[in-house]
Amino acid sequence: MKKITIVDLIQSPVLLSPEKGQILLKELKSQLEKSKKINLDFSGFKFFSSSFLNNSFGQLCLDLNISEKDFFNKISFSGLSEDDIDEINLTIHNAQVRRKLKKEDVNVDKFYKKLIPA
Amino acid sequence: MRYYSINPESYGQLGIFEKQIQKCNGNEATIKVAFLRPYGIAFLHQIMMNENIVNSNKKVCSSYPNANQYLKQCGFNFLPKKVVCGKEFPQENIIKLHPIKSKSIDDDVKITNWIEKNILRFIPKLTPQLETKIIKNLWEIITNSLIHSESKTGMSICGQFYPLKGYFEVAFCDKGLGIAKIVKSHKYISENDEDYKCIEWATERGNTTKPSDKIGGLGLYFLREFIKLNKGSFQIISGQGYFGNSNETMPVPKSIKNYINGTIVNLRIIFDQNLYSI
Repeated sequence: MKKITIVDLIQSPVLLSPEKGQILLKELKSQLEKSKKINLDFSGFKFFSSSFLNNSFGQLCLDLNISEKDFFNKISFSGLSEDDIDEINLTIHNAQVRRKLKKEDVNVDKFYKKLIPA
Repeated sequence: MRYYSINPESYGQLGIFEKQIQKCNGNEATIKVAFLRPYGIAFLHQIMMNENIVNSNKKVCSSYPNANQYLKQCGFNFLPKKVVCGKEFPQENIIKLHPIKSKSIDDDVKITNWIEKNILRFIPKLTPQLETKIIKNLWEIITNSLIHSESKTGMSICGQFYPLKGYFEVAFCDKGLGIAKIVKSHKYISENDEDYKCIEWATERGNTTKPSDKIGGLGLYFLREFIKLNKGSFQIISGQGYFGNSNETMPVPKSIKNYINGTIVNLRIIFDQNLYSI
């Protein structure tokens, strides 16, 4: 199993900006070509944001068409609290909703706009 | 003009302020304001950062020496050279004007460091989990403004701890598109609806104008929950919309008389001895 230490990869314990999520996304895509399983070690991190998670894990599910089950089969986490894991679960769940809509050829942005009454 | 309290009318007056400063033909504008809160300072700073005003070398001061002294101590650098100032205020209670303009990848480090150093010292004890969430929410207020508002003058932040009253206020102001215009441009709220509905929408958990990012909004969810527990208050002003609470009440949406370009987010936090957890 390939282990990625996030703080080393991003070179910062602050994981808030979406651009940092994109760095992780690139690394994940590259590593998934070589390894079946990856462990992401978050030891030493201070914060992550929904933007960071959406741009890394959420986008990975969409780009590689990965189901929730497959995602957690391929990627494991260490160095996180229960609250942090909850946030990751929510990101993956949201990505799956978008993935499903995309699969059904639904325009995601239009779909959400229709759901929210003007 | 006197701004002693925080209410929709006092925010609305800022719009008049802006028009008066812009219309002023000379190099020096004098405003009749005896007392300024951080939101007024941050707003004034954003007006003066406008390229046309900077290029014209226009200066502004108050006809009241104490207000000038306060502007000076807040780091407001648009005061005339020979301005009359009053008695010094305790500097340790002031969070000096902090302009944020760039949007680089490492801004998150700089912004969170600044929040930890300047804002946390005036917030009561929080559990580590809540502290993290509050820092993240404050970062979101700033970064959402930098991303969405397209403000040419970035954002100005200013704060003040009032030891006798036992509370702290911090204001975030930008002169960009404003929440009302942004939300309406995405057609989440109808063009004909009142601006406060846009602010209300943007503060709901999960609402965002970022196309690929479902969780977002203004980033105020945990802050609002904390402020509710803390019995503090918050106000968000944009366009002619006012959305805020005061004195433990539920958020009050309202329309204000004068148009405010951009967005103001003002938080008042009671500095007590409680330990907060959500």
